[in-house]
Amino acid sequence: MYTGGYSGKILRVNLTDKTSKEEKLPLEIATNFIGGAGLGIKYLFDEVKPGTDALGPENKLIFAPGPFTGTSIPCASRMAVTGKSPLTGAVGVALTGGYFPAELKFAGWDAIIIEGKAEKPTWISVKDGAVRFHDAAGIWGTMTFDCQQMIKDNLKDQNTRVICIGPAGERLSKIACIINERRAVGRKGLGAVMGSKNLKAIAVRGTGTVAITSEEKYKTARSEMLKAMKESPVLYSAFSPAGTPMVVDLTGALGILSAKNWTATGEFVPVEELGLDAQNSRKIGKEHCYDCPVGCSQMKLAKTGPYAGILTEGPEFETIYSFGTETGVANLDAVIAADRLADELGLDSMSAGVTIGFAMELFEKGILTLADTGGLELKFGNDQAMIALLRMMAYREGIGDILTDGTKAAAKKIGKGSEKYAMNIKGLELPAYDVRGAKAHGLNYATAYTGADHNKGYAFQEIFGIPVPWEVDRFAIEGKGKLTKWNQDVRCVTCDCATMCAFILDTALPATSTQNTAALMEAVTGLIFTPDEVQKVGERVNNLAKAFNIREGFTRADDTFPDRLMTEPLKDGASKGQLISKEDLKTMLDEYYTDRGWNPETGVPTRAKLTDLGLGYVADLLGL
Amino acid sequence: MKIKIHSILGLKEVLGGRDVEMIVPDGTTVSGLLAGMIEIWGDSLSPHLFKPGSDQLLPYVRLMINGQTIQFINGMETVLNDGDEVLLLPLAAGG
Repeated sequence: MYTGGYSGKILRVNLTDKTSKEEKLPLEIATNFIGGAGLGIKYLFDEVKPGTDALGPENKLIFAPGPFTGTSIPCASRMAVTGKSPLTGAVGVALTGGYFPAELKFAGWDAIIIEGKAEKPTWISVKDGAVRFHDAAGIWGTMTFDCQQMIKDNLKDQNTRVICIGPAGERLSKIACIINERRAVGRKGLGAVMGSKNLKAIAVRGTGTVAITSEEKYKTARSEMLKAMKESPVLYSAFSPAGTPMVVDLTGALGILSAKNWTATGEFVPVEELGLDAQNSRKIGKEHCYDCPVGCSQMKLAKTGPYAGILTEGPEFETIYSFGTETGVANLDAVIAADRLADELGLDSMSAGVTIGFAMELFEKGILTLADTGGLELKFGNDQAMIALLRMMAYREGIGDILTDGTKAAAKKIGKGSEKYAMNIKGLELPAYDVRGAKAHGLNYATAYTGADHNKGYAFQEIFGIPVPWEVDRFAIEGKGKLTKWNQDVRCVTCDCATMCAFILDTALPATSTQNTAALMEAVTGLIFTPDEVQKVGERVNNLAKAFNIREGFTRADDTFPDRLMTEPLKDGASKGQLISKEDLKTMLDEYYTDRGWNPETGVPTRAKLTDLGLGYVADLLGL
Repeated sequence: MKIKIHSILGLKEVLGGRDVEMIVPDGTTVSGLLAGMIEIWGDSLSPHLFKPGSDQLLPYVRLMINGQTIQFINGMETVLNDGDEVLLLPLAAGG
C-alpha cells in the first residue's frame, strides 16, 4: 500500500482506439525500480517485443517522473521518457526538467504509457483523471513554442503544462526531440516516436498534491539535503550564476573539448569566443525548474549580425560544443540562434550539431560537393550554412533529408568511406568530452545502454577531479571498469530513477547520494532501503536495459568507439598524445564486464547476476 | 627556467589572465612554484588555493603538469622542467 510519493496509478493511453485507462502501479515495481527510467525500462522490456519497429504503433512511450517529483524536495522535478530508440534500435531514455513533471504528479499519475497510433494528428489533454483526445489539424506543422501557447489558449488555462514535437518530429527525423517549455527530452530520437504515433502534444493540469509518509522524517531528510547543497564548494557560489558553460573553460584547459568533428581537439579551442566570459556577455536572466533553489539555466540574447535579438534558454555546454566547437563556429550569437532554432524545430541540438560537423568534414574532404549540398558551402566555421542546414534537416529538404536521421544512417546512404567520419556509438552522436583524455568517461560512452550518452555514467572524477569513490588518474586504463560500473549504477538510480538533478549529485552529493535517496524514500514513500539497496536498483535497471539491447541483437562488438578515437592521438593541448587504443578498450571492457558479473567474452549478463537482481525471468527470456 | 601557468574561471581573474609565465630556478618543485606565486599574488591568491591559515591545498583544487594530475606524479614534491605547463584548476560543475 502506498502512503506517499506515489499515487500508485498509471495512465495508459491507446491512440489507435482513443481509449485511456487507469492501472495500478504494482508495489513490487515501485520498490524494485523506484521510478523514472526504472519504470520506463521495466515496462519497455515487458511490453515491447523484440524486433519491434521503433516507428511503428507497437513501440511505446513511457513518461515517468520520480517519487519525489512534486514534493518540496529540491531539484526533483524531472521526468524520464522511455521508448525504443529509432536512432539506435536500443533502449531510448531521455530526461527533462521544468514544470511538466511536477504537474503530472499533481494530476495524480506516476506515469503515462502511450501506445498505438492515432489515425490522424492528435493531441491529448490530461486534467487530473480526465483524458481528452483533440484533433491536432490546427497545430500540426507548428514550431514547438507556438504549439505550446496555442494549446494553452485552446484550453483557456495558461498554467497547463505542455510537451510537444515540432516539424522534425512530425517528419520522423531520427534525431527529433520532444520539447517541454524551452527544455528538451533531447536525445535518441524520441520525438520521432511521438511523430510516428501522430501525437503532436500532451497537455497536463493537476490540482492535487503529492502525499508525504512521515512529515517528521521528511523535514529531517530534506534539511540534510539542503545543508549538503549549501555546503557545496561550487553549487551556489559558482554553478548557480554560471551554469554549464563553465565546462567550456574547463574542458578547453584539459584538452578534451572536441572540435571540428573530433579532428581538432586541443587545437581549436575558442574559449574566449564561447567560454564563460563570452556567455556572461549575453546573459539577461536565469530560469529555475519547479522547486529548484539553484536556477542554473541562463537566458541569453544574441547581440550581433543577423542573430541580434534572438533569445534562448541556454545554450548549455553540450550545445556550445555541438553548434560551436564541433562545427568550428566560434561565434556565440550563431550558437544562440542555432540553439533556439533547434528547440523550435524539435531537433536534438547535440545530434544535430554533430551531424552537421560530420557533413562539414565530408564537404572539406570532397565526399560531399556543392551539388550534393544544394550550393551550401559546408566548411567548418560557416555559421550561416549551419543555420540553413538545421532548417533543411527539420523539413527533410535537400541534403537535410539524409542528415536528419543522424550520422550512422547518413553515412550509410552517402557511402564513399564516410562511415569512418561518423562520430557515434550505437548510432547516438558523441557528446562534447573527447574521451581520449578521460578514459572512464570513454568507457561509459562505449557501454551505456543508450549509446554515447555522457549522462549514463558521467566520470566526475576525471572531469572535475572529485575523489569519490576514489581518486582517479584520467589517463589510466586500469581500474576504469570498476569505476564505470559505480558511476553508471549510482547515477542511474539517483538521476534517472529517483529523477534527481544530475548537477546536484555532482556538486553536493557525490559521496552521499545513495544515503540521501534512502532517507528520502523512507520519509516520502515509507519504503525502506539501505544505501546499498538503493545502488542495487541502479544495477538492476542497467542490467534490464542491457538485456533489452541483447534481445535486439546487440553484442560486445557494439561496445566500441569510432576508429578515430582508437587510432588518432590528440595532437595538441593538455591531453596531447592520448588515445584509447583497441587494446586499451579491450582491457577496460574485460574489467567492466567482469565487475558487472557479466560474461567477459560476450558482454552478456549471467543468469547468476540476473537472478541475484531479481531478474530471473529475464534470464529465461534470453535463454541463459 | 620558464614555467607556463594556465588557469580558468576565478583563478584566471586573480592571476590577471588565462596564461601567465614564471621564471623559477632549476629544480623547483610544485610546492616551490606555489610559494613563488603567493609572493607575487599574495593574499588575493591564497584563499583560492589553501585552507584558511594553512599551507594545505583546498580539496578539489587541481594541479596538473602537462595535463597529468600531480598526485599521480610526485605530488607537491614533483620537480618541474623548463617549458612545463602547469594547469591550475578550481572546482567547476555542469556539463
